[in-house]
Amino acid sequence: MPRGGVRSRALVHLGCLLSLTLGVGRGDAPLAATPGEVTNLRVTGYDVGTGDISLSYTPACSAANHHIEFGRLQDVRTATYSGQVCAIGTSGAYGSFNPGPGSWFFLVVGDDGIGTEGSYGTSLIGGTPAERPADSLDPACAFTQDLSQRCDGPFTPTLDLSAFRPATGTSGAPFQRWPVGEGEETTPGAGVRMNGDDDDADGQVDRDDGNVAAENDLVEIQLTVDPPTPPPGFEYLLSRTNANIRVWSAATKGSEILAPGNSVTLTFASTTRTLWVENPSGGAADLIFAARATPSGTVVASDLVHFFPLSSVVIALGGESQVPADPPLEPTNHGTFQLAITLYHMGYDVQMYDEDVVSSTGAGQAYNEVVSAIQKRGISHVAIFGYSHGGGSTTDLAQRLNANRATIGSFSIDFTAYIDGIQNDSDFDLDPETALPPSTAYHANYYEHPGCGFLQLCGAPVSGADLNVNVTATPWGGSLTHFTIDDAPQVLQGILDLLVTHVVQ
Amino acid sequence: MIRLGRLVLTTLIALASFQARAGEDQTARSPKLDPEVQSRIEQVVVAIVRGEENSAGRIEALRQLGGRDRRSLLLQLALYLEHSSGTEQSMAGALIVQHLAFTPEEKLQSVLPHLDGAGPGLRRVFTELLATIDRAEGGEPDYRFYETQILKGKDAPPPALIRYMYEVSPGAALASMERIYGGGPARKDAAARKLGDVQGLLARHDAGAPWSDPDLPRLRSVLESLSKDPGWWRRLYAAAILTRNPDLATAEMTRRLRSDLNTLVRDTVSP
Repeated sequence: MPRGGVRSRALVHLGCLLSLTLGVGRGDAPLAATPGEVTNLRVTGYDVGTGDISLSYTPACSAANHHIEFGRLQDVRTATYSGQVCAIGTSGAYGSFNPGPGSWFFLVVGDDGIGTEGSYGTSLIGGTPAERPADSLDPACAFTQDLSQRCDGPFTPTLDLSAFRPATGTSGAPFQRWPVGEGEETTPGAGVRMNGDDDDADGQVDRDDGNVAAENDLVEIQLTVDPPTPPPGFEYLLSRTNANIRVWSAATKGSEILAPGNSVTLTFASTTRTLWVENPSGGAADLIFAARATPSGTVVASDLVHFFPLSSVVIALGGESQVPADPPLEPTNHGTFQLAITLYHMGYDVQMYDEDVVSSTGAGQAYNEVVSAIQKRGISHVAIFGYSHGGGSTTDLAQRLNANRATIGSFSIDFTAYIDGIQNDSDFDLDPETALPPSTAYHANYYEHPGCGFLQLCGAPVSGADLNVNVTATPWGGSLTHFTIDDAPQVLQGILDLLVTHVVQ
Repeated sequence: MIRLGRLVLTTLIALASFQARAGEDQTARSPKLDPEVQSRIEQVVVAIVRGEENSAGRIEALRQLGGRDRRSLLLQLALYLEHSSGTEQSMAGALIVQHLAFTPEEKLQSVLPHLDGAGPGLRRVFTELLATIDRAEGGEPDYRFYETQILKGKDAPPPALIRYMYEVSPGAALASMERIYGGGPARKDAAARKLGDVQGLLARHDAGAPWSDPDLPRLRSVLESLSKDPGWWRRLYAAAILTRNPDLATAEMTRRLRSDLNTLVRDTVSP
């Protein structure tokens, strides 16, 4: 969430109340992109014969030209302009202003000589000091007001630090790159895997490795700032609250950006810069991107992302012949993977698989991923859910994990779920899965059971499950079949809510 | 997108036709799609998925179409499942297979002639059909049915079946071969114990335990010994283990097994 910038903008130019006729001198301001405010506007003469008014004013900083905005006096309260005098120069004097007979208000505005104009000064608008509205009609010369980088204002860069969900695709199917929501950047923050594995299989743990060719545990962050180069007297700073996180130039590490200390001044070649965050050994930390004044150190804008080590892994197993993908290959027919994608967006470390990666002994790719997560990435919580044969594979995987606890290490299976689970001793196995996954802390079982007659597939209740829902007996699920139950919103939402309740990220 | 999809499909069909002609000798034994049977299978699948009342009649018609050649019908079902693109087709297809109640003999006799020549998709269906024989209740395979089949032609065991058995479980396959070829080169007790140790270490490693420093030389020593054994089924075991655990291989062992006189052994370790 951007901090400072918005608040600072609200504080701009509280002191310009009299700028219509008197203004407040600002002196020389640092050079910046857009013109500031004209001050000291005075009428220095009036030609009775011609009606010309002579003016003097202090030019706006960074102005390449100036123009006069004027309107009927009765419209001054609404700042309704009816005319312009274009290109009056930058001398600070003008002798030919003649709006015509009657009573008028006017002011001088700095511009860049092309199409951008600066401040119209401030006035009490609705009792609050605020910038006067710009002329939107521009009857004589067209300008667009830009106060974002005004030369006479406090430096208020547009600044943002954003993080993305962990990289995927090495074991389970890849998810699309997904940003952590603005509202989640501090609470709960961005999850990052502890980097204790050996992705490049060079015999060295990745946290101790310099460059890791196949590294997949760093979290992408994006720093955005405008302007890319701060004005004199300001700098952009990246800092961390402690060494639980390290910042690198590339997904494969590259060069370390934030070391050996906890802060570094950054330069930008453009408005965006991508870096990567590593969690070497666990623990949380904040990463702060700020613009600050030098040498005072006063922060004028900042953004913060909280990073925490992921402590769980979620395994999603589809039904027979369902191929995991994001977006789902069949958007209305792959509910298991829709659920996996939702959980990934929420920040869970999700691995989605074809259920056949789990053999009937539980061995295979999903098992290896969970074991690696527990042994090398500090994971201690496991969740597994699956549809149809994926339900059977859920049991097979849980059984193997439970049987090999002594070898694997410490972990708990916090949540499991079946969606019309069918045993998966082979692709031809059609028996309903009725076994409770061993040692699961919470098991949800959604199944359909319309009688299960000739050539019908059915799930069944699971003895010992914390939740058995026969959807056929519900008001909303009476027409669901084995082939549609995995897409029912009530089923998917039910499992989502339960998983979120029982599984920490 | 639709036009592009058609173009891609047309190109793939053309390419497949070309490859079929070019590789005619190799694919001569590959089962071919029978459009009429495939159409009947699809009709049954649709009836099952939609819960239609006529599904019983449709599957009976399919059974009659298979007539006495149930092996061909099973192959057509395998081909249908190879191309299934969703849970609907896969699970309804499995229901059909279950309902037609193929015996283990029918499954084995249907699959075996085509197992080695099948592409990855069809091979997957075939091996899953075999799994219904050797892992009817899941878990570790039980190869006793295959042992009775191999014993019928002990001197010329079907390579496709042997390959499959070692692929699924080298340990269970070795145990079967020891029972079948027990009259061959005998295992000394010490060697048997060493083999038991190796299998224990391999099981622990499969469960997630890293190799310990003393493990590796012990494992390599036993595998080295097996790779020189006069019994081809033991050398095949060593080859299967090395394929699963390349970090256990030594250059000398790999070289030896790659030049083994037994084709199965050679093929298993060949890149």
